[in-house]
Amino acid sequence: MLILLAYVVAGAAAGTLGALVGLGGGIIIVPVLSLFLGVPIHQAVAASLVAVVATSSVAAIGYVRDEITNLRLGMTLETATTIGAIGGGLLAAHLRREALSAVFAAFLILNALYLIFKQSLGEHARASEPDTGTLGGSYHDAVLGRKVSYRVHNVPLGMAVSAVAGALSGLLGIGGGPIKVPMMTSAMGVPMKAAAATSNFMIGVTACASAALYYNRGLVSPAVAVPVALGVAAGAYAGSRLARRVHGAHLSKILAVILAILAVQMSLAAAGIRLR
Amino acid sequence: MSAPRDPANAAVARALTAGVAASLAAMAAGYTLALLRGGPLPAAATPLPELAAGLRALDPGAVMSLGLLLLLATPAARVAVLVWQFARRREWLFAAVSLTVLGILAASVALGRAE
Repeated sequence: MLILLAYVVAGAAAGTLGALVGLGGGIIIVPVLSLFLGVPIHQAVAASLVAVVATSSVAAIGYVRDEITNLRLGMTLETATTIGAIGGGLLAAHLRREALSAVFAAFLILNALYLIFKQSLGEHARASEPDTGTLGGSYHDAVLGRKVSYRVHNVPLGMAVSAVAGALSGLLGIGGGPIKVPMMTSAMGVPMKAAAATSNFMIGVTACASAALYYNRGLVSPAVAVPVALGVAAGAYAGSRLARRVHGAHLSKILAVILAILAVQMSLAAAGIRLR
Repeated sequence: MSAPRDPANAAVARALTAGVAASLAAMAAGYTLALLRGGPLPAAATPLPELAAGLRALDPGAVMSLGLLLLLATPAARVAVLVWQFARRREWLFAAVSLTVLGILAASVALGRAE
């Protein structure tokens, strides 16, 4: 009974924090479940994939309604993320617990760095491009108070990086935003807001592609995945409400430190040492 | 949040809302059933062939598994909605792209069953 409550709380905390700083929550769910709540890491990854589908779908409703998501770009890159996700999901079955923990530790470090340097990726004052091409888009930016239009560049590179992000998603049970968002903003010319919304939009489908593999392997445990998913959905909703009142920049730095600590513990777990 | 002008956006938002609502309802119902009946929660999801029988017997594990499957089907449903929306406005390139993604998702289910 107590452990069930712990799953709900872990999901809710991950959902709230994730929504506040713009992460999907998988990056918190997998280490918390596997390091502190005794869930085998492959099962933790499966539960996280389910949670990631929940947060992505809940968040996408708002972004899509507000027409910030670039549906055409999202669908195009999804052809690469889903194929990558299947590859990652197939690979996960052949990786030992220790190896998976080591890859996860490396990814935690990448996420911590993303949280610290995210601000510098932010909105540059950019000229709107009236000709948006086939894949480009436009949206109304409430902060700037005007319409922002953009073209999309470097599509082949974007597809390649998306495939890698998809593979990591299928392998680690995460969304992969910290790979896709910088790629879209720096290499493809997509503004930050549209990049974050489009990345989130792609995450649900990407996680869905590898979750089918985990489900058929019997790794999706209702006892773990359902309380986590319920917690994360409630947390993501609460987080999106709180986001207007909380200073995201400070929180990002605090979370970066937490992720770095989790990375150390994951590395120790990879080496067979378990601290609690 | 204003109502979207683009019907594709409105259709995607509707599909996501319906899928999430249905899956959360099934998960919460299964969870409540499990708590009412006492005993441990199911450790493994109900395999697809046994799902219908489990649901008829109101087995908590089967109801929770239905919730999980509905959640996993939600992104696939919104891809299907986009296939239709792009086809309707004769954007054949993006209808084909969306159909490809739907095909990859179907392949992942087939791969999972073959494993």
